[in-house]
Amino acid sequence: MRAGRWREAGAGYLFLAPALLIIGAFHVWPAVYVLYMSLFRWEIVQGAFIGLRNYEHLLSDPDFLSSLGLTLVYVVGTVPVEMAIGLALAIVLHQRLRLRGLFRLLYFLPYVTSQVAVALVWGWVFNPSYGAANGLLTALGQPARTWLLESGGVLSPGAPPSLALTAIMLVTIWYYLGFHTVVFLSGLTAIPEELVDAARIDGAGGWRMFRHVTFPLLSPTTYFLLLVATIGAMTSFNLVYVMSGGGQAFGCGGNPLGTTRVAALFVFDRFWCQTQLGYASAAAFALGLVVLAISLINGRLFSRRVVYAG
Amino acid sequence: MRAPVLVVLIALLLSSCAPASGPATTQPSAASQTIAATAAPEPAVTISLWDGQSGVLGDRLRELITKFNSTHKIQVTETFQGTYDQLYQKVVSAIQANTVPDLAQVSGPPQTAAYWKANVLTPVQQFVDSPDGFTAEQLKDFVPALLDENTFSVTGKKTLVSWPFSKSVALLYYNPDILQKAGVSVPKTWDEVRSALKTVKAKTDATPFAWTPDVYYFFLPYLWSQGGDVLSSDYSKATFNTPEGVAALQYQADLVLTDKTAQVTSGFDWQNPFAQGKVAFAVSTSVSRPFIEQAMPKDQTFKVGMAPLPAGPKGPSTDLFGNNLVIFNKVAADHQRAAWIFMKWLTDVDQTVAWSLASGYMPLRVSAQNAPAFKAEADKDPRLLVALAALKDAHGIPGAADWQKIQPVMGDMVTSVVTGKATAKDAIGTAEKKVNDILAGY
Repeated sequence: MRAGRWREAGAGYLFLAPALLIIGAFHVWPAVYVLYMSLFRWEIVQGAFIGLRNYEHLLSDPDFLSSLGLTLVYVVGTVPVEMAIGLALAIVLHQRLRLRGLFRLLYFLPYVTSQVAVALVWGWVFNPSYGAANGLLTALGQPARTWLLESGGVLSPGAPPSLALTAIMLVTIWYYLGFHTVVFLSGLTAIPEELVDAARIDGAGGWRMFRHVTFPLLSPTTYFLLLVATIGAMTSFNLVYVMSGGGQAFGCGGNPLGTTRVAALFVFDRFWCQTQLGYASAAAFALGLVVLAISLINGRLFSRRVVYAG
Repeated sequence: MRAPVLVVLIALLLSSCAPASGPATTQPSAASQTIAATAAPEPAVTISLWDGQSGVLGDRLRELITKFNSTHKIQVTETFQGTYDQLYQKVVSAIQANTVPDLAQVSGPPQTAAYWKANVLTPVQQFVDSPDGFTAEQLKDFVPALLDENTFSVTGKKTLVSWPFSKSVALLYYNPDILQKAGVSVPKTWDEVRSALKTVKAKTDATPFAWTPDVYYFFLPYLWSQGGDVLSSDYSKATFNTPEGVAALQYQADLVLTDKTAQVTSGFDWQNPFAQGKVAFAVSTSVSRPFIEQAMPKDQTFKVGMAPLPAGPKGPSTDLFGNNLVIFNKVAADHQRAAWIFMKWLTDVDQTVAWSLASGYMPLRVSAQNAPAFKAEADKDPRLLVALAALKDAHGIPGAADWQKIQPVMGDMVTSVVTGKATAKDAIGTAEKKVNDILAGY
């Protein structure tokens, strides 16, 4: 009996091994090493052990604090919008529409395109000299804008988000919309027909059906998307980096005037462009802790409201 | 509550693994490196070069390497690593992984200074002084400004740490057809530039000037031409918060915001409209010409005009750009020597002339400037001499290891002024504080 148990457990671990190996090598080990690096003065080469001084410095670094603020703006400006529009589209595409498959494909298409390619193309759309965005504004009789070079705020001149970050947020929403739509669609498909029928017999329809039946039963999907999208947006890099110039000009990502330098770009800038490897590692680890904290808060706030059907 | 305790415990544990004396701060002394007393036979080794030479320039560099490989026992393998910044990032990664190439390009003195501070280089001086090197007389053939740019103070002694390879200077580019249409001649002073741009705006449809604001084009040359400088000579503090510095910033704000004669672009976005004949003036390094000519529509070509950057009260000034070469000290001694032999060959008269004519970079030797092949080309196209003539007014980018951190601060300073987000005085004050903080330590 005991030998059989061991064999069974061994087989289980064997099945787990490939995933453990990959996660261990590419996630756990780098995270541990980043923590190690963050405790040193480490520029191009490893320097003296300085304990938590890098973390202390982060707390008083206006650039880091501003990058966290920008990340928050980016998350709040993208995640709820993606989810709301994604849900609306999913409900529409859940109906028996003509060409439904084609619409589903069209909305999902951006998500399967390379983020760098998408960012480069949108970079051209927002190009101040030849971009389609200015072409449209000019056709409508509006003054041209400098878009990705514009550091002025869209809500108030000195406050984030800048026009540059807003443009990037719009592209982010456009990119992830299809993903949210498809996941919500699968959530809608999973709602048991008999519950919908019962509600309908009881006289529910339209808004009441959505409010009291569909939305509550979609809550596992909504919770999953909220968690995944928030973590994704907190650590967003590709779209922001490439649309901010991708280090093509002198200097690093996060132009203009650092108004698109979200936390992941701050880490990149300090690590690669300023070669403050230890300090950037501290910023990366701190960002990881912030993401973890926000995920826990999300869990506390929303997991109790999740309703599972059946 | 347990998390902070855990972090502290891990920190304490790691402290016992840390190197006892922090970073290695001692630089390799000449005595510690063994060099043969007489020139030994060339080692038959294969060495690796990492570079940032893209497009047409990369092709020309590979041609040179093929020529070297066919005539030497040493074989060079070349790897293009992207832009200079990407090349730097890859070298920094390779240093962590202990997989550095034998030699690499560096974009200028700041990167050399950063590598030197990290103690990863073998100073070129020891090869220059070796039987494989040069006599003092031979060394005089090199343009002094170029050797100066590669020279650092090592324990109080001037030492060649890197070796010049592809050198260029910032120049004013212009479209002669637009200038003729506007009736303006090539401006020679900053004031003349400003009024030329106004005339172009008034008399033509062209964009008078397009450029991507940063510290190099305009701010530094303008500052230098007024007698100012950006950092103290020992790189310990910022020295640009002066009336000259404010004037250098205000000049750019005047072009963009007051005169509306300058268009702000991003990266190299100015290059295509200039090549298409839509822009009258631009500013870039002397090697931009092949790129501009390549981007020109075939049915709408023009002769690209090149002129020195304008002069201020203290005369003209320009930035010394381009790249140098460094040898890494972690590679075997025979590889280091082979790397030097290759570097030296690259700067022989034949090669420096060929590379200059192929790339637009300047010949590095005085004798190369008089070589028949170069003179013949210069007679045909005097634009080859514009950069050479400007060399006497060239300033190197500050060889401060912290310049990589300072550069974006200065870039933001310029951008905030030309976009009207701050006055020149406020922006320069903010930048001065940030730069001094960087130089002070963190």
